[in-house]
Amino acid sequence: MQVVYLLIGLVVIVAVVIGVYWYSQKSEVTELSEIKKPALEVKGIPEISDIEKIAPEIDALLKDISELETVAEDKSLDTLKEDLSALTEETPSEKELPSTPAIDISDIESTEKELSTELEGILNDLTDLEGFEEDTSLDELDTSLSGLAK
Amino acid sequence: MEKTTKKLSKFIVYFLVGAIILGLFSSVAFAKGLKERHQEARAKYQAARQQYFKEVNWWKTARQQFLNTRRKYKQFRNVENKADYEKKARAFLSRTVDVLIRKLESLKNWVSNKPSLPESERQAIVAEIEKDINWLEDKKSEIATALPSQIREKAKEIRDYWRNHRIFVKKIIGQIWGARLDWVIERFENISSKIAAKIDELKAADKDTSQLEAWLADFNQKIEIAKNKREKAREKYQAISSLADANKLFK
Repeated sequence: MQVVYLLIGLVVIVAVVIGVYWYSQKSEVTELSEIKKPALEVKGIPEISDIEKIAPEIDALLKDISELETVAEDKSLDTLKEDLSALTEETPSEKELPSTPAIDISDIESTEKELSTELEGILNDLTDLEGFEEDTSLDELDTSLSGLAK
Repeated sequence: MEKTTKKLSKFIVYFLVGAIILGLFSSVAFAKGLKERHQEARAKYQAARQQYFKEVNWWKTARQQFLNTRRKYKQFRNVENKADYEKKARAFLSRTVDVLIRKLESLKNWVSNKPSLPESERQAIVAEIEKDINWLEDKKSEIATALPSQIREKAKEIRDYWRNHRIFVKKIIGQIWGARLDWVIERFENISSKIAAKIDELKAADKDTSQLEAWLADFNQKIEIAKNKREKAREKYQAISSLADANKLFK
Protein backbone atom coordinates (compact mmCIF):
# COMPACT_ATOMS: atom_id res chain seq x y z
CA MET A 1 0.00 0.00 0.00
CA GLN A 2 2.85 2.35 0.94
CA VAL A 3 4.48 1.65 -2.38
CA VAL A 4 1.30 2.76 -4.19
CA TYR A 5 1.24 6.08 -2.30
CA LEU A 6 4.92 6.53 -3.04
CA LEU A 7 4.29 5.95 -6.74
CA ILE A 8 1.32 8.36 -6.82
CA GLY A 9 3.48 10.96 -5.08
CA LEU A 10 6.23 10.51 -7.63
CA VAL A 11 3.80 10.85 -10.52
CA VAL A 12 2.40 14.10 -9.01
CA ILE A 13 5.92 15.56 -8.56
CA VAL A 14 6.88 14.67 -12.14
CA ALA A 15 3.63 16.26 -13.42
CA VAL A 16 4.30 19.46 -11.44
CA VAL A 17 7.88 19.69 -12.75
CA ILE A 18 6.71 19.20 -16.35
CA GLY A 19 3.94 21.84 -15.84
CA VAL A 20 6.40 24.43 -14.46
CA TYR A 21 8.86 23.83 -17.31
CA TRP A 22 6.09 24.12 -19.94
CA TYR A 23 4.78 27.39 -18.43
CA SER A 24 8.23 28.99 -18.34
CA GLN A 25 8.83 28.05 -22.01
CA LYS A 26 5.44 29.52 -23.05
CA SER A 27 6.09 32.86 -21.35
CA GLU A 28 9.51 33.12 -23.06
CA VAL A 29 7.90 32.66 -26.48
CA THR A 30 5.29 35.33 -25.71
CA GLU A 31 7.96 37.83 -24.74
CA LEU A 32 9.93 37.27 -27.95
CA SER A 33 6.84 37.76 -30.16
CA GLU A 34 6.17 41.01 -28.39
CA ILE A 35 9.70 42.21 -29.21
CA LYS A 36 9.39 41.23 -32.92
CA LYS A 37 6.38 43.50 -33.55
CA PRO A 38 7.30 45.98 -36.39
CA ALA A 39 7.92 49.56 -35.32
CA LEU A 40 5.40 50.98 -37.87
CA GLU A 41 2.57 48.95 -36.38
CA VAL A 42 3.03 50.72 -33.06
CA LYS A 43 0.15 53.01 -32.42
CA GLY A 44 0.86 56.74 -32.91
CA ILE A 45 2.87 58.87 -35.43
CA PRO A 46 6.17 57.36 -36.65
CA GLU A 47 9.30 59.05 -35.47
CA ILE A 48 11.74 60.69 -37.96
CA SER A 49 14.51 58.27 -37.07
CA ASP A 50 12.25 55.38 -38.21
CA ILE A 51 11.60 57.04 -41.63
CA GLU A 52 15.34 57.56 -42.10
CA LYS A 53 15.85 53.83 -41.53
CA ILE A 54 13.32 52.88 -44.28
CA ALA A 55 14.65 55.29 -46.99
CA PRO A 56 17.54 53.10 -48.29
CA GLU A 57 15.18 50.13 -48.53
CA ILE A 58 12.84 52.12 -50.79
CA ASP A 59 15.80 53.02 -53.04
CA ALA A 60 16.75 49.34 -53.34
CA LEU A 61 13.14 48.46 -54.22
CA LEU A 62 13.04 51.06 -57.02
CA LYS A 63 16.30 49.65 -58.48
CA ASP A 64 14.88 46.13 -58.47
CA ILE A 65 11.75 47.32 -60.32
CA SER A 66 13.78 48.96 -63.09
CA GLU A 67 15.98 45.82 -63.47
CA LEU A 68 12.91 43.62 -63.72
CA GLU A 69 11.51 45.88 -66.45
CA THR A 70 14.73 45.41 -68.48
CA VAL A 71 14.46 41.63 -68.16
CA ALA A 72 10.83 41.76 -69.24
CA GLU A 73 11.68 43.77 -72.34
CA ASP A 74 14.60 41.49 -73.35
CA LYS A 75 13.72 39.76 -76.67
CA SER A 76 17.02 37.95 -77.23
CA LEU A 77 15.51 34.55 -76.21
CA ASP A 78 12.21 34.93 -78.04
CA THR A 79 13.21 32.37 -80.68
CA LEU A 80 14.54 29.86 -78.12
CA LYS A 81 11.44 27.64 -78.26
CA GLU A 82 11.56 27.42 -82.04
CA ASP A 83 15.30 26.83 -82.05
CA LEU A 84 14.90 23.97 -79.59
CA SER A 85 12.08 22.42 -81.62
CA ALA A 86 14.17 22.56 -84.76
CA LEU A 87 17.09 20.98 -82.96
CA THR A 88 14.92 18.12 -81.64
CA GLU A 89 13.65 17.40 -85.14
CA GLU A 90 17.12 17.38 -86.62
CA THR A 91 18.72 15.08 -83.96
CA PRO A 92 18.26 11.43 -85.06
CA SER A 93 16.83 9.14 -82.44
CA GLU A 94 18.91 6.28 -81.13
CA LYS A 95 17.02 3.90 -83.37
CA GLU A 96 17.91 5.92 -86.44
CA LEU A 97 21.61 6.15 -85.61
CA PRO A 98 23.60 4.06 -88.04
CA SER A 99 25.45 1.30 -86.18
CA THR A 100 27.04 -2.09 -86.79
CA PRO A 101 24.25 -4.71 -86.65
CA ALA A 102 24.58 -6.76 -83.43
CA ILE A 103 24.30 -10.50 -83.98
CA ASP A 104 22.37 -12.31 -81.30
CA ILE A 105 23.91 -15.72 -80.78
CA SER A 106 21.88 -16.57 -77.69
CA ASP A 107 19.65 -18.89 -79.72
CA ILE A 108 22.70 -20.84 -80.92
CA GLU A 109 23.73 -21.22 -77.29
CA SER A 110 20.26 -22.37 -76.30
CA THR A 111 20.27 -24.83 -79.21
CA GLU A 112 23.58 -26.20 -77.96
CA LYS A 113 22.03 -26.72 -74.52
CA GLU A 114 18.99 -28.36 -76.11
CA LEU A 115 21.26 -30.72 -78.01
CA SER A 116 23.26 -31.68 -74.93
CA THR A 117 20.04 -32.25 -72.94
CA GLU A 118 18.76 -34.56 -75.68
CA LEU A 119 22.02 -36.50 -75.72
CA GLU A 120 22.07 -36.76 -71.94
CA GLY A 121 18.46 -37.99 -72.00
CA ILE A 122 19.20 -40.63 -74.58
CA LEU A 123 22.23 -41.84 -72.59
CA ASN A 124 20.11 -42.14 -69.44
CA ASP A 125 17.51 -44.09 -71.39
CA LEU A 126 20.19 -46.36 -72.77
CA THR A 127 21.33 -47.15 -69.22
CA ASP A 128 17.74 -47.84 -68.09
CA LEU A 129 16.97 -50.06 -71.07
CA GLU A 130 20.22 -51.96 -70.62
CA GLY A 131 19.08 -52.54 -67.04
CA PHE A 132 15.96 -54.28 -68.38
CA GLU A 133 17.93 -56.02 -71.04
CA GLU A 134 20.65 -57.45 -68.83
CA ASP A 135 18.44 -58.32 -65.87
CA THR A 136 19.61 -61.75 -64.72
CA SER A 137 17.60 -61.84 -61.47
CA LEU A 138 15.18 -64.42 -62.83
CA ASP A 139 17.66 -66.59 -64.71
CA GLU A 140 16.88 -69.65 -62.54
CA LEU A 141 13.18 -69.32 -63.22
CA ASP A 142 13.19 -71.70 -66.17
CA THR A 143 14.95 -74.55 -64.36
CA SER A 144 12.84 -74.09 -61.23
CA LEU A 145 9.59 -74.18 -63.17
CA SER A 146 10.81 -77.16 -65.15
CA GLY A 147 11.38 -78.93 -61.82
CA LEU A 148 7.83 -78.10 -60.77
CA ALA A 149 6.33 -79.07 -64.12
CA LYS A 150 7.83 -82.60 -64.01
CA MET B 1 -24.99 -10.58 -30.48
CA GLU B 2 -21.45 -10.12 -29.22
CA LYS B 3 -20.87 -13.84 -29.58
CA THR B 4 -22.10 -13.79 -33.20
CA THR B 5 -19.80 -10.87 -34.05
CA LYS B 6 -16.85 -12.70 -32.49
CA LYS B 7 -17.70 -15.84 -34.46
CA LEU B 8 -18.04 -13.85 -37.67
CA SER B 9 -14.72 -12.08 -37.21
CA LYS B 10 -13.06 -15.41 -36.39
CA PHE B 11 -14.51 -16.90 -39.58
CA ILE B 12 -13.27 -13.93 -41.64
CA VAL B 13 -9.75 -14.29 -40.19
CA TYR B 14 -9.65 -18.05 -40.89
CA PHE B 15 -11.06 -17.48 -44.36
CA LEU B 16 -8.42 -14.89 -45.20
CA VAL B 17 -5.56 -17.01 -43.83
CA GLY B 18 -6.89 -20.01 -45.76
CA ALA B 19 -7.17 -18.00 -48.96
CA ILE B 20 -3.60 -16.74 -48.62
CA ILE B 21 -2.23 -20.25 -47.99
CA LEU B 22 -4.25 -21.66 -50.90
CA GLY B 23 -2.99 -18.90 -53.17
CA LEU B 24 0.59 -19.60 -52.22
CA PHE B 25 0.27 -23.34 -52.78
CA SER B 26 -1.50 -23.01 -56.10
CA SER B 27 1.14 -20.62 -57.42
CA VAL B 28 3.88 -23.01 -56.32
CA ALA B 29 2.10 -25.90 -58.04
CA PHE B 30 1.70 -23.90 -61.23
CA ALA B 31 5.35 -22.90 -61.17
CA LYS B 32 6.37 -26.54 -61.17
CA GLY B 33 8.36 -26.81 -64.33
CA LEU B 34 8.94 -29.50 -66.88
CA LYS B 35 12.23 -30.40 -65.28
CA GLU B 36 10.46 -31.28 -62.04
CA ARG B 37 7.96 -33.38 -63.93
CA HIS B 38 10.84 -35.30 -65.53
CA GLN B 39 12.40 -35.81 -62.13
CA GLU B 40 9.07 -37.00 -60.69
CA ALA B 41 8.70 -39.46 -63.56
CA ARG B 42 12.19 -40.81 -62.95
CA ALA B 43 11.52 -41.09 -59.21
CA LYS B 44 8.32 -43.05 -59.95
CA TYR B 45 10.21 -45.40 -62.24
CA GLN B 46 12.96 -45.94 -59.68
CA ALA B 47 10.36 -46.70 -56.99
CA ALA B 48 8.76 -49.28 -59.33
CA ARG B 49 12.18 -50.77 -60.04
CA GLN B 50 12.93 -51.02 -56.30
CA GLN B 51 9.61 -52.76 -55.80
CA TYR B 52 10.58 -55.24 -58.50
CA PHE B 53 13.91 -56.02 -56.79
CA LYS B 54 12.10 -56.55 -53.47
CA GLU B 55 9.78 -58.95 -55.26
CA VAL B 56 12.83 -60.75 -56.72
CA ASN B 57 14.12 -61.33 -53.17
CA TRP B 58 10.76 -62.71 -52.01
CA TRP B 59 10.67 -64.89 -55.10
CA LYS B 60 14.15 -66.25 -54.31
CA THR B 61 13.08 -67.07 -50.75
CA ALA B 62 9.92 -68.80 -52.02
CA ARG B 63 12.01 -70.75 -54.55
CA GLN B 64 14.44 -71.90 -51.88
CA GLN B 65 11.59 -73.03 -49.63
CA PHE B 66 10.03 -74.89 -52.55
CA LEU B 67 13.33 -76.64 -53.39
CA ASN B 68 13.83 -77.62 -49.73
CA THR B 69 10.36 -79.11 -49.32
CA ARG B 70 10.68 -80.95 -52.64
CA ARG B 71 13.98 -82.50 -51.53
CA LYS B 72 12.39 -83.47 -48.22
CA TYR B 73 9.38 -85.01 -49.93
CA LYS B 74 11.62 -86.97 -52.30
CA GLN B 75 13.53 -88.32 -49.31
CA PHE B 76 10.50 -89.02 -47.10
CA ARG B 77 7.34 -89.54 -49.09
CA ASN B 78 4.56 -89.13 -46.58
CA VAL B 79 1.24 -87.22 -46.44
CA GLU B 80 2.61 -84.38 -44.32
CA ASN B 81 5.60 -83.76 -46.60
CA LYS B 82 3.40 -84.03 -49.67
CA ALA B 83 1.00 -81.39 -48.34
CA ASP B 84 3.89 -79.12 -47.46
CA TYR B 85 5.44 -79.64 -50.90
CA GLU B 86 2.15 -78.76 -52.62
CA LYS B 87 1.72 -75.70 -50.44
CA LYS B 88 5.22 -74.44 -51.16
CA ALA B 89 4.87 -75.23 -54.88
CA ARG B 90 1.72 -73.12 -55.06
CA ALA B 91 3.38 -70.29 -53.14
CA PHE B 92 6.43 -70.40 -55.40
CA LEU B 93 4.33 -70.35 -58.55
CA SER B 94 2.28 -67.48 -57.23
CA ARG B 95 5.46 -65.54 -56.37
CA THR B 96 6.78 -66.26 -59.86
CA VAL B 97 3.73 -64.64 -61.39
CA ASP B 98 4.04 -61.69 -58.98
CA VAL B 99 7.65 -61.08 -59.88
CA LEU B 100 6.87 -61.20 -63.59
CA ILE B 101 4.03 -58.71 -63.10
CA ARG B 102 6.33 -56.37 -61.16
CA LYS B 103 8.96 -56.62 -63.86
CA LEU B 104 6.44 -55.69 -66.53
CA GLU B 105 5.03 -52.92 -64.35
CA SER B 106 8.43 -51.31 -63.95
CA LEU B 107 8.85 -51.40 -67.75
CA LYS B 108 5.33 -50.01 -68.24
CA ASN B 109 6.05 -47.29 -65.70
CA TRP B 110 9.22 -46.32 -67.56
CA VAL B 111 7.42 -46.11 -70.90
CA SER B 112 4.28 -44.33 -69.69
CA ASN B 113 6.26 -41.64 -67.86
CA LYS B 114 8.69 -41.05 -70.68
CA PRO B 115 7.89 -37.68 -72.25
CA SER B 116 10.46 -38.20 -75.00
CA LEU B 117 8.43 -40.86 -76.81
CA PRO B 118 5.76 -40.06 -79.40
CA GLU B 119 2.33 -40.34 -77.75
CA SER B 120 0.88 -42.92 -80.18
CA GLU B 121 3.89 -45.23 -79.87
CA ARG B 122 3.89 -44.87 -76.12
CA GLN B 123 0.25 -45.87 -75.90
CA ALA B 124 0.79 -48.82 -78.22
CA ILE B 125 3.72 -50.12 -76.15
CA VAL B 126 1.86 -49.63 -72.85
CA ALA B 127 -1.16 -51.49 -74.26
CA GLU B 128 1.05 -54.42 -75.27
CA ILE B 129 2.64 -54.60 -71.82
CA GLU B 130 -0.78 -54.36 -70.15
CA LYS B 131 -2.01 -57.29 -72.25
CA ASP B 132 0.72 -59.45 -70.73
CA ILE B 133 0.09 -58.12 -67.21
CA ASN B 134 -3.61 -59.01 -67.54
CA TRP B 135 -2.78 -62.52 -68.73
CA LEU B 136 -0.51 -62.99 -65.70
CA GLU B 137 -3.18 -61.63 -63.33
CA ASP B 138 -5.60 -64.24 -64.68
CA LYS B 139 -3.03 -66.95 -64.11
CA LYS B 140 -2.50 -65.76 -60.56
CA SER B 141 -6.16 -66.26 -59.68
CA GLU B 142 -6.15 -69.64 -61.43
CA ILE B 143 -3.14 -70.73 -59.35
CA ALA B 144 -4.86 -69.66 -56.13
CA THR B 145 -7.83 -71.95 -56.84
CA ALA B 146 -6.01 -74.76 -58.69
CA LEU B 147 -6.15 -78.29 -57.33
CA PRO B 148 -2.77 -79.82 -56.41
CA SER B 149 -2.93 -81.92 -59.57
CA GLN B 150 -3.40 -78.77 -61.69
CA ILE B 151 -0.38 -76.95 -60.25
CA ARG B 152 1.95 -78.82 -62.61
CA GLU B 153 -0.07 -77.67 -65.62
CA LYS B 154 -0.02 -74.10 -64.39
CA ALA B 155 3.75 -74.34 -63.90
CA LYS B 156 4.12 -75.45 -67.53
CA GLU B 157 2.02 -72.51 -68.72
CA ILE B 158 4.09 -70.04 -66.73
CA ARG B 159 7.35 -71.60 -67.95
CA ASP B 160 6.22 -71.32 -71.57
CA TYR B 161 5.18 -67.78 -70.94
CA TRP B 162 8.60 -67.02 -69.44
CA ARG B 163 10.37 -68.39 -72.50
CA ASN B 164 8.31 -66.11 -74.71
CA HIS B 165 8.44 -63.29 -72.20
CA ARG B 166 12.16 -62.80 -72.70
CA ILE B 167 11.64 -62.45 -76.43
CA PHE B 168 8.68 -60.19 -75.76
CA VAL B 169 10.78 -57.89 -73.51
CA LYS B 170 13.52 -57.68 -76.11
CA LYS B 171 10.97 -56.86 -78.82
CA ILE B 172 9.42 -54.20 -76.60
CA ILE B 173 12.83 -52.66 -75.92
CA GLY B 174 13.49 -52.60 -79.66
CA GLN B 175 10.14 -50.91 -80.17
CA ILE B 176 10.97 -48.35 -77.45
CA TRP B 177 14.29 -47.63 -79.13
CA GLY B 178 12.58 -47.09 -82.46
CA ALA B 179 10.13 -44.63 -80.88
CA ARG B 180 12.89 -42.94 -78.91
CA LEU B 181 14.94 -42.49 -82.09
CA ASP B 182 11.92 -41.09 -83.94
CA TRP B 183 11.60 -38.50 -81.20
CA VAL B 184 15.27 -37.58 -81.08
CA ILE B 185 15.64 -37.43 -84.87
CA GLU B 186 12.72 -35.02 -85.03
CA ARG B 187 14.34 -32.85 -82.34
CA PHE B 188 17.69 -32.91 -84.12
CA GLU B 189 16.06 -31.93 -87.41
CA ASN B 190 14.44 -29.04 -85.61
CA ILE B 191 17.81 -27.97 -84.21
CA SER B 192 19.33 -28.27 -87.69
CA SER B 193 16.68 -25.90 -89.12
CA LYS B 194 17.34 -23.39 -86.36
CA ILE B 195 21.09 -23.43 -87.06
CA ALA B 196 20.47 -23.07 -90.82
CA ALA B 197 18.31 -20.01 -90.16
CA LYS B 198 21.01 -18.53 -87.95
CA ILE B 199 23.63 -19.11 -90.65
CA ASP B 200 21.49 -17.14 -93.12
CA GLU B 201 21.18 -14.34 -90.58
CA LEU B 202 24.94 -14.27 -90.00
CA LYS B 203 25.63 -14.32 -93.73
CA ALA B 204 23.34 -11.32 -94.21
CA ALA B 205 25.44 -9.50 -91.64
CA ASP B 206 28.65 -10.35 -93.59
CA LYS B 207 29.95 -12.75 -90.98
CA ASP B 208 32.17 -15.74 -91.67
CA THR B 209 29.95 -18.82 -91.33
CA SER B 210 32.23 -21.42 -92.91
CA GLN B 211 32.91 -23.29 -89.66
CA LEU B 212 29.27 -23.33 -88.64
CA GLU B 213 28.26 -24.51 -92.12
CA ALA B 214 30.77 -27.36 -91.99
CA TRP B 215 29.43 -28.38 -88.58
CA LEU B 216 25.85 -28.29 -89.84
CA ALA B 217 26.67 -30.41 -92.88
CA ASP B 218 28.28 -33.01 -90.61
CA PHE B 219 25.32 -32.87 -88.21
CA ASN B 220 22.82 -33.36 -91.04
CA GLN B 221 24.83 -36.28 -92.36
CA LYS B 222 24.71 -37.91 -88.93
CA ILE B 223 20.95 -37.41 -88.76
CA GLU B 224 20.63 -39.25 -92.08
CA ILE B 225 22.81 -42.11 -90.77
CA ALA B 226 20.61 -42.31 -87.64
CA LYS B 227 17.48 -42.47 -89.82
CA ASN B 228 18.90 -45.34 -91.90
CA LYS B 229 20.01 -47.26 -88.81
CA ARG B 230 16.62 -46.76 -87.18
CA GLU B 231 14.86 -48.31 -90.20
CA LYS B 232 17.24 -51.28 -90.27
CA ALA B 233 16.86 -51.81 -86.50
CA ARG B 234 13.08 -51.68 -86.84
CA GLU B 235 13.12 -54.38 -89.51
CA LYS B 236 15.38 -56.57 -87.38
CA TYR B 237 13.53 -56.38 -84.10
CA GLN B 238 10.24 -56.99 -85.87
CA ALA B 239 11.75 -60.18 -87.21
CA ILE B 240 12.72 -61.52 -83.75
CA SER B 241 11.15 -64.94 -83.29
CA SER B 242 13.49 -66.64 -80.83
CA LEU B 243 15.68 -65.76 -77.89
CA ALA B 244 18.73 -66.66 -79.97
CA ASP B 245 17.66 -64.10 -82.61
CA ALA B 246 17.14 -61.46 -79.94
CA ASN B 247 20.48 -62.15 -78.25
CA LYS B 248 22.25 -61.96 -81.60
CA LEU B 249 20.61 -58.61 -82.33
CA PHE B 250 21.26 -57.01 -78.98
CA LYS B 251 24.86 -58.11 -78.63
